[in-house]
Amino acid sequence: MNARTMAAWTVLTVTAACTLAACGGGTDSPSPETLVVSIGIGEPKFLLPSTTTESNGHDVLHALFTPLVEYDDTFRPVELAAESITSADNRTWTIRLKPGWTFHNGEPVTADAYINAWNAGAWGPNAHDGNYFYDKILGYADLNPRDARVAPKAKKLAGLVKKDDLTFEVTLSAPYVNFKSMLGYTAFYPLPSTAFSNLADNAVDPKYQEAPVGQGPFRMKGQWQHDQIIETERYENYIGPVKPRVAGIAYKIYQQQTTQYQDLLAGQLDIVPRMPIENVGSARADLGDRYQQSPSSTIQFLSFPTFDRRFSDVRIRRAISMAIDRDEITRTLFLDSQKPLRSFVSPVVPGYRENTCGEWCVFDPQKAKALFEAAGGARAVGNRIEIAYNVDGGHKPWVDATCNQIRANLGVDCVGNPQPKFAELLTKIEKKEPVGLFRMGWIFDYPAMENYLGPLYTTHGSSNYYGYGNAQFDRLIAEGDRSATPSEATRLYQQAEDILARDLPVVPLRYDQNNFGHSTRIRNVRMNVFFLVELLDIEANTP
Amino acid sequence: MSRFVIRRLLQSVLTFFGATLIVYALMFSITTDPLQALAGERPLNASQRAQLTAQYHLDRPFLVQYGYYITGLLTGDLGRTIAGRPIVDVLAEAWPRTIQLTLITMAIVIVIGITGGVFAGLRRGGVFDQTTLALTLVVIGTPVFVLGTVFQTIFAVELGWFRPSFAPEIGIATYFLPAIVLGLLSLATAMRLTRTSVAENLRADYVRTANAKGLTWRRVVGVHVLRNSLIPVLTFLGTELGLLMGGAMVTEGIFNIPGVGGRLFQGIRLEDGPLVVTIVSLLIVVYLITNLLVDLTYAVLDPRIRHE
Repeated sequence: MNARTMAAWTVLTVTAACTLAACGGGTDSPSPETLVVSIGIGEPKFLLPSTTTESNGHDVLHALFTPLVEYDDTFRPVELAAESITSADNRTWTIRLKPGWTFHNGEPVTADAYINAWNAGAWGPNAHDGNYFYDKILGYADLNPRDARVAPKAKKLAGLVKKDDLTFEVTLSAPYVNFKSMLGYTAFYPLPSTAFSNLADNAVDPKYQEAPVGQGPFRMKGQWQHDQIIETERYENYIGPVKPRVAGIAYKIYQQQTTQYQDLLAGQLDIVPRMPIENVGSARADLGDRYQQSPSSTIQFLSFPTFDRRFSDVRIRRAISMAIDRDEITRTLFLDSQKPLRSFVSPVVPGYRENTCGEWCVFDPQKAKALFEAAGGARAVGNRIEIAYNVDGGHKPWVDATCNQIRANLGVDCVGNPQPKFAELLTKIEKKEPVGLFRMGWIFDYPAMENYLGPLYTTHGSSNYYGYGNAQFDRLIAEGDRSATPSEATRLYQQAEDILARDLPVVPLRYDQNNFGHSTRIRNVRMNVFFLVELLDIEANTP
Repeated sequence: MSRFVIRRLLQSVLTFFGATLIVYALMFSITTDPLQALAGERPLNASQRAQLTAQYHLDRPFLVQYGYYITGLLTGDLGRTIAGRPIVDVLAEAWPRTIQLTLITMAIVIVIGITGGVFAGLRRGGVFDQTTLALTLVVIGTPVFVLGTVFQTIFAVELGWFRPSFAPEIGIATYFLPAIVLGLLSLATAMRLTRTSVAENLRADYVRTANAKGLTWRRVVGVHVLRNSLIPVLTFLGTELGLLMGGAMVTEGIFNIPGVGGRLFQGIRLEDGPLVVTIVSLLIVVYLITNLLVDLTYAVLDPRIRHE
């Protein structure tokens, strides 16, 4: 034991001396040829494109793969790995790939690489998280029986047809105007043939995701070191239009975001992409203009369960919305790391308009109180309003603040209703338990108004947990999806959004910002609306 | 002696199975929907839910699920986490880190805690005793996450003596700051215990006898007092070893050490029954073994204690 302690002390002394003398410190300025930029993330759940639906995995795959499309300043899709994506009827889409692209193992990127990857993702028995992304493609239902004990009717999507080595055709089960926008998502990356253990059965080799092979600007350097680090290096044969300006990206895996910030301050980490609210307050002073913000796609709102009769009067819903001072909460509680939202979609989609919610989202305590009293007042809501939330997401402070505002402005008791996890909250709502209003957040998968309006507000929308239903709204969304041009679609989606402002099934509250910081070693650090660091922009900070 | 050891080992087997059953039952009762927990706030589609439910036997009754788990355990197959990684791999990576952290922590606790305690006990009421009393009270009263964050900010970020987070490339030194934070609480307790014990034993009859026989002060303290004083401290350290291994969750989180605590936390958050039960079961084994060792050391320290 004494020998061990001695050794430890010796090491400590050496380390201390070393750090004081700045050997191997992070502040020296490296050349672009050798600079490896470290980015802080959490442990990804998976690293296979069709199973990756959370931000940590997205970050890593973003370095390893290049999507078919990227997005311009107005969030419209523009071809990237694809040469052209065309459709005459928005139902049959022809995707032509750029020639000469190769995977990191040298294998050429062909139409098959896409078809195989999408078939595996859509194959029900694989149970990939991104499975639902393929549900618009013809033949999806045949691969996904409702009962897990029944064998699927087909092994391949009928809607995917190879035309030649670089061209394939995607037929959807119904026309969908936003299909091109979808193609920028992770689920639509290609896979090399080596990723499969049995191609005919859509079986992906479980070892593939330990060192994913993609066709992007960076390739894996070694294996995924779980809970520690994922290292990548520049792929020299990358032929995309913009080449990386750094030697590699290392994703350092953290259990807590606050530790990332400490590492950034100590010069051990280059980019903290998701700065926690605890650090936002001091970030401007600590980092100066190395702390930045940019809009993101996440919106936060409160929803009224339709089965709860207390909220069935639209005047009650409007009164509650008008009693909330969004500006004060974003300013004092979120230190402007989030912004007030007065529409039903986020500002980062084509077709977004400010204040579609109109006067109902404008803070006006007098009007709110008058409207509330006219609708029956406190007695109409059972003398008490509850706001349900999951305690594992840091929502308590703003829920409490919102309740304080409602209490003060409407003169009715208001309390938070904490639930351990969001899953538990959902279970209660499915059982129609009166949990009160409940909080929800939504991140888009691709920049389209429909990606908010469809899942959240159509009668059978996948995340319409509150049970809102309006036939005219459903019809407008369906028409929008089938419309011939994106601008025509936008017009219909906007009409649908106006219905939401009238019915007010939810109370829009805030939209998120990317809050990120970087070290002195690099510059040109930007983040896009997908919460992703723009890796190809990063440059070494040469003095 | 050997009969005692065998009896204890047999009891351990029973304890082990009883404990896994209870832990499994607890996990089972708090589990609402692990698939949804894994998916976060994103909806799961019906076919995916059906596939995963069948794969993890989530639709089977409790005892059947437990049966699957124990069968796997006995055949050496610890199963997979809900994200699909073999639990064996997860543990093989996490345990060595936690064990290294724990050993360094214990070294700090034993060396500083016991030395300081003996010193304070010998000069009861002196300056050193008073100072350590005040300091240990402060440490015992401070939550570990405050202590951890403060130490991290001062010694790693401001002074730059340590790395703020786990850095395997600098070797064992990476555990030093977390070990100090983790050890401070046990250290304070160990110091108080030793001090009281030593101070008490100094007034015992056998010490007066030893002094009367003309033994040197050094021998009286070093052999007679210390040996007897260590019994309560040893009991404390024994249980503390198990506690440190499982309870380093907060410290491991702050310093980003990918050890057992972090995996356990992740498992609880994702309602990952098999992972939590496996880790907890292993912790139970650690407890059982350390307790056995502590009991055996009693006999060495105090000849009056016999395990027959």
